[in-house]
Amino acid sequence: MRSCQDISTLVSESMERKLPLGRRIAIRMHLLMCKYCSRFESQLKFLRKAARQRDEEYHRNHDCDEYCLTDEARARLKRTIEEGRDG
Amino acid sequence: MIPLFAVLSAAPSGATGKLDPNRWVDEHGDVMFRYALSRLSRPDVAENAVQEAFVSALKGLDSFSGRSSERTWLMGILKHKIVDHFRKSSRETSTEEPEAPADGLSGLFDTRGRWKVGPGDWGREPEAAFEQTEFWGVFENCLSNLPARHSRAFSLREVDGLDSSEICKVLDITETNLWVMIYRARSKLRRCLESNWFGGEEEPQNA
Repeated sequence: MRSCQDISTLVSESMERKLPLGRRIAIRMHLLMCKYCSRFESQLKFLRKAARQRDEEYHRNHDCDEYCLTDEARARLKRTIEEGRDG
Repeated sequence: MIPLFAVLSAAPSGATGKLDPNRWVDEHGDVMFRYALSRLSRPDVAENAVQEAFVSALKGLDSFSGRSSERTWLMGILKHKIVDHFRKSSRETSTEEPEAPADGLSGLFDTRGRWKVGPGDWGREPEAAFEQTEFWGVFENCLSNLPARHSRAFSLREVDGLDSSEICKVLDITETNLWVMIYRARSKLRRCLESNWFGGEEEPQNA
């Protein structure tokens, strides 16, 4: 019998590579019986979705707060582009 | 099939199909910078990545197909620059200690490997949280509480979608090491969201 600690590690690893059949079966059997490990699995999938969604949030415009370019940085970048175009 | 002219006219003017480098800094500079900062943490490094992205973009104007928006195209180039940065900096700091395979999260399980505190119930539709601005603040905090290399490994995997062997090359680590790092990153993020967003209703395990 594999412990919850083993299974949680395998659940995470199974999101990285295809596990051998025996281990995949061991995970499925365990998840059928263990609500904590099956929550763990769905929560890891949630994290994956959230990470991707967060990335999309970053593509949108936002109000300028502390995380915006300073005027100096803006000028430097504009210069880079001008030079790049001429060069 | 949709006629081509319909697609073109449906696009907001200036959003797709053409590039205007003179407006890049004003139109996309802040968004690119904020993104780079979220991945690289330091403002000078983030600005540098944006600058490198602009330089590459200018050299590769021909590679812009017009199918995506200018923003998406530039962000794609920026992401490559960010990965390049990780690649360089991991080569410079390869003296980092290897990850010990078993410690760190020992508090989660008892000696027989059972949950000490089992993951809580996040409800039927935890994705509803994506609609709330506050959730993203919490997520951001949780992510920044991870050790830098854990969050790096996590983001390369889950955000950039690199596969294990690519990430190992970028971070100069073994696959086993990577799986341990990602497992830890996920476990910590999970716990952090549970206590700070999903009500902290972790359930003590009754053995």
